[in-house]
Amino acid sequence: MQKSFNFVGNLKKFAIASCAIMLVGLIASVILGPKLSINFSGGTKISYSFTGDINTDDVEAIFKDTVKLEAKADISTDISGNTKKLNVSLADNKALSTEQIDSVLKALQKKYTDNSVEQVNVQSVSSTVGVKTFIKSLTAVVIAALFILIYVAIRFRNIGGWTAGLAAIVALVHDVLIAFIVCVVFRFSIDNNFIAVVLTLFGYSLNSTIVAFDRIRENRRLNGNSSPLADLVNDSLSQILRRTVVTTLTTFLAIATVAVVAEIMGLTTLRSLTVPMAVGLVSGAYSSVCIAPALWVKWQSLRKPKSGKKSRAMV
Amino acid sequence: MKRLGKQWFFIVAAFILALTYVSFFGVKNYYGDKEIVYFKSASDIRWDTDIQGGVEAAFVPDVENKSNITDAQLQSAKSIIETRLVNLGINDYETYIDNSSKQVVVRFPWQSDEAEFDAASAVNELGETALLTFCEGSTQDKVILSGSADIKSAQAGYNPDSPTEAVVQLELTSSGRTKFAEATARLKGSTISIWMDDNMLSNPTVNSVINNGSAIITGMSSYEEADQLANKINAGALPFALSCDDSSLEVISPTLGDEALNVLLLAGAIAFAIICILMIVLYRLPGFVACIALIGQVGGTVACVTRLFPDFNSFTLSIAGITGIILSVGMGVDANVITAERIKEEISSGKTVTAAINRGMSNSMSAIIDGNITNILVAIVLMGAFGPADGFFALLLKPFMFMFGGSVSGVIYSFGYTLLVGVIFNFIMGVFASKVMLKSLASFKAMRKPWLFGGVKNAEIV
Repeated sequence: MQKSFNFVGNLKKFAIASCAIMLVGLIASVILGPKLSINFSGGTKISYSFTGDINTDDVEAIFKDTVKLEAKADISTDISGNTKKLNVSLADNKALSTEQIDSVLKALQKKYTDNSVEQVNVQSVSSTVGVKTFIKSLTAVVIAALFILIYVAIRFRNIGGWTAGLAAIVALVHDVLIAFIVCVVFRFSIDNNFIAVVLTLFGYSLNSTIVAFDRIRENRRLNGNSSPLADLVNDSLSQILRRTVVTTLTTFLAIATVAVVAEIMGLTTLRSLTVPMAVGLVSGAYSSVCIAPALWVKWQSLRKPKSGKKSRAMV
Repeated sequence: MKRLGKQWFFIVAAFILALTYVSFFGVKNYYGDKEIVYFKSASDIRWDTDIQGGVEAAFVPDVENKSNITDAQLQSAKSIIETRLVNLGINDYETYIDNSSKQVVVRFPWQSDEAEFDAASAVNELGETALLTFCEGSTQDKVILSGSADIKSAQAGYNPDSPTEAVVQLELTSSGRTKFAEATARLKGSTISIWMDDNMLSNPTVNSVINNGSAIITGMSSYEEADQLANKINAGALPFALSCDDSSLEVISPTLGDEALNVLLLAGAIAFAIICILMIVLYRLPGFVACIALIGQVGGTVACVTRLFPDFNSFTLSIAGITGIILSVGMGVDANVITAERIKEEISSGKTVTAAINRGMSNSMSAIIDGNITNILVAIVLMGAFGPADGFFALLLKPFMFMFGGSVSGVIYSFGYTLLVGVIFNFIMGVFASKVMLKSLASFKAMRKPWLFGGVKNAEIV
């Protein structure tokens, strides 16, 4: 017979651990402040014409030294292919002063004496992802959550579908918050990569939690109401533990491989995608086993306090 | 227990490998110098600017006094350009407004060696005002109907009187309807003209009073032309024409780095190989079958990204789109892991291999179905909320998202698309094809060893 782990009984410990991480993370986020990319915050774009070759990493360093701002530089050529342009974007809503802009130009010209660097223009730009898009995204997420809740409530009606759906959504929010904290702590900017990570974790965490509830539903059908809820859940989770470990390990290794290959080949921009995703995958597995089912047990027993059997299952 | 014919493994596996081969390498033929493409290959994928670079165009309003331009006008110009980009099949664009010089800047993926898609002409088309007007006679002097105030929507169709002729059908607003009824009553017997900016589209004679709020534009050379015009009308007219000269049309390098695409492809290939090795080591025969199914899942998804047939534009694959594929492959792995684990459980409870396969598969079904359907729900909501406003999913979601109008976000839309096709292929490959292959393999006596399914000697395996 399989060894059964006590996941449900340890809900308090897991909850405290999760809340502690989140509290520390959110405090850190408030202190450090999330780094928004220019897509989200708007900012300033400066372009320079030049000849020869210029390293964009060095340019970013020059901006950091002279005006203490994080810059993102890229190089473009016009469609005829004749003139090269260096484009620098600064994600900050404070406008740069003329002195600051001049001092950067001087620093660039000093470093690249042979490249005839000239300033072409300075633009103050709006965000590409405006407040409206942000509110729309939130609404879309809420609607998606609502659809999921209804679907889970119907499919899992035999084991109290609404509470199962709510528990799944709590797990989901947990994992997305963890990914956000990782981004803030590692100083990754909140950009399109972050949106991609959040959406991926949304789906991944959901799938994991549903697999867990599926086994609970199946065992409930096979065993009826004879065993206490907590035992039922612990047995079910122990039965799918190997699956959870294997799936998580496989997907984690796949993401880790992408991260390592990208590092070796110098594609450091991919870090803001791979790191939060890898952490989020682990968090998704954890929340689907340690948080969501135990929460469900707790809520189920609160729902029917009359039944003596169920209250024994309380944590 | 009933077994499946031995030949089925080979038929399904051959079909999967053929599909994957075609979607990765395409089918092309050469007649002398001329290349004829039957099926497109993975190298025809349109990659996002992050990965492969693109063009950046700065649109300047064609007006004399720029200080009269309001923020609201620039905002509406930006959102109309976004809709036009999506109509052109460009989902992964970035647009922003440069407030200081009052211009709208657009970035979208494009490679300098791309022959089929002319960036310069596409950019010119984006800047057109696209104002549809109905005028008296054959000059633009006396306007009857003008723009979105009078014209509600347009749709391509065929002329009811001559079913082979493509036309654009217009639905008028209530104000347009009154004006049009009044004008057609007054102008009976003489002509009216229909204009797109400065081009006369048609110049029909009014035969009867039209008061049902509809009108058609004839003179289209093909259904495609009618469809393009209808899209243009639906996207709305710009408050002013926007121009973009050659000096403000630039080729930009990939923002992720020059080698981004090669690195991503290499990393993806290695990661996939690691998944396959793990699956085979952990689950033996079901693991091997899972690998074939996963290959088919990726092949099918790639086919849906390139849209396989040369007549369709490739979908733009961005980082978000790639993560959509990663998620669906992850779910594919999970589906196979769940099934393999269930088969193993049945085998260790002492069942025969055939019985264990049947029980294991039917037991794992509900988990896989529920997990995948919830993800399909997520994909549909994302595609509906962030896709083109007249798309199927957008219409489906209209009761929930009506207050937002048709803004488009390429990143999220592209994630929704790859996730949706990925999950559908997970059903076809990870559930259906895996099942057929495994059952068929179990018809071979040599394959009916419990060890091959993780039984007996598996105790030492983690």
